[in-house]
Amino acid sequence: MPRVPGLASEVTLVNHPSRETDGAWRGAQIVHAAWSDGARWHVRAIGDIAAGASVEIDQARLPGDCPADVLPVLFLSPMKRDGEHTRLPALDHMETVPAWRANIRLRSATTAVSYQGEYPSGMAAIGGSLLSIAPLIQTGGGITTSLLFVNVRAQPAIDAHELRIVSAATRRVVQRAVIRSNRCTMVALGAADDSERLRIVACDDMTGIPIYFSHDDGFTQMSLEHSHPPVEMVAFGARGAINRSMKAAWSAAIAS
Amino acid sequence: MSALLQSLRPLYDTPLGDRVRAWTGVKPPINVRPRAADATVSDLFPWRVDAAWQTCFELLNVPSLLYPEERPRDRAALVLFGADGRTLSTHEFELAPFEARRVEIEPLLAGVTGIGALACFHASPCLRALARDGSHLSERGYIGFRRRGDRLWSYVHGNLHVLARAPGDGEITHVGTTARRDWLYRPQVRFDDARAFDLVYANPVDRPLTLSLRFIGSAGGDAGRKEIDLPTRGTVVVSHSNADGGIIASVESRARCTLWRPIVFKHYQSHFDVFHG
Repeated sequence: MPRVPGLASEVTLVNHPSRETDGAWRGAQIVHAAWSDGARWHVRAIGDIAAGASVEIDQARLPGDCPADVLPVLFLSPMKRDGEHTRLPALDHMETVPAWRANIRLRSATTAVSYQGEYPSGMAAIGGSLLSIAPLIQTGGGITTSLLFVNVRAQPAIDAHELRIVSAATRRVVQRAVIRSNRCTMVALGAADDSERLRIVACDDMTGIPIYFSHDDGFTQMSLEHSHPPVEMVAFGARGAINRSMKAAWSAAIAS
Repeated sequence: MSALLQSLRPLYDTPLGDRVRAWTGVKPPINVRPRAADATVSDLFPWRVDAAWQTCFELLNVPSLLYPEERPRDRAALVLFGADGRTLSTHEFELAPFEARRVEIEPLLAGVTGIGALACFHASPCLRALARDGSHLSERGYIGFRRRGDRLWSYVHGNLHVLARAPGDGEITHVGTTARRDWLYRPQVRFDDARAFDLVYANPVDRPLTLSLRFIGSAGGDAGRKEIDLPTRGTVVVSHSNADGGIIASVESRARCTLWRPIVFKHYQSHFDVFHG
């Protein structure tokens, strides 16, 4: 549940797969909220969800001891997993094709924006690296764009890492920012002229989900979309090998 | 058993094998590989152009993103389809390496308004390397919607491989699969926080489909049904006002297609949200 100053955060959790899938989980579950303090994951059961049902979680539904400056991670489990953990519980009972997702939403007084998202447990298990390429910056005329960078790791450590934002056309590092593991970091993005609108978001030692959030001054108009991992540019065949080769080529091209 | 399956893999893990699985219904794949090894694949992106809506497509030189060290140029083709699925027009673009061009759809429509869909295919010599690995470039980019008078584009990315085309004037073929029975799809989202919502469905397979929708109220009960016949590549918008038509929380669809999911628009007091369902 990313949190943005001045806006309400909401997540719709659903307890059914999107597409009927053989063997998909079909039982009641318990809704959990978790957050890291850097040393441990604090996990709290915050409600139940019947099979086939959905539930809206807003900030008021978070546990009272959940600090305001953490990234609350929501998950469903058939069993209660309350307590303090040295690793975020990894669950695979909701693995489906397409992925089992939640609707993650930011709400102002007059509108809301969302995306269908999940944080794959496989991504949380690794440090990884990030390379994502998108043309989603909108600026000018009272519009600003920020990057919401979400990382979740099974290990509770909260580490600082460098994020580079690079022009794909010129390879110029446009901006550097500090991002943290197990946090949602908000990075205000500068204006981009047409020749440098295609931006590479790169981190050498941490993966995560880059989400572009554009809005006007009063949050009466808002737009939210995450950028693809580069592997989405390839279908079928040796996608993994091609993805690794592409990331290596870009890493060399934008090495600082 | 798994060793046997592994040894047979060269026989079934092929474009023909995909089609046999799709035809027999035995573990049907969501997509089949294109027959042409050098084809590129595209999602079927909906467009809306009328008195209320504008649409743009973020046209990227995708070959140069796949092979940055080669700095290839890209010959990209945008193919526009009408609501009835018929091809309206094809527009070719030469893109410099790493170029991103925001293409507004309205000027390409020559006066046609309403809804429809578009696909984007790429061509570059560097893509032969993908074919050697049994892979295809996938256009899964970003389409933007804006209400007239607004400043902000709201983007949604593609989420379903649908069409394929070999470079040049190659025939457009389908990579989505039909099914011998109905498959159910229910977006993992609620609609009852919005004043109104639209679901946009574009037929992703190579034959007409009947889309059966069931609307579900906030208490979980049946709140209506609707059936829509849609030609191949045809597009339909299903709109509902929670303010005037009773509150709908969820919608499920059934069709003889292994995966068919909508683009969702939710309308709020001052603006709207768009995302893939």
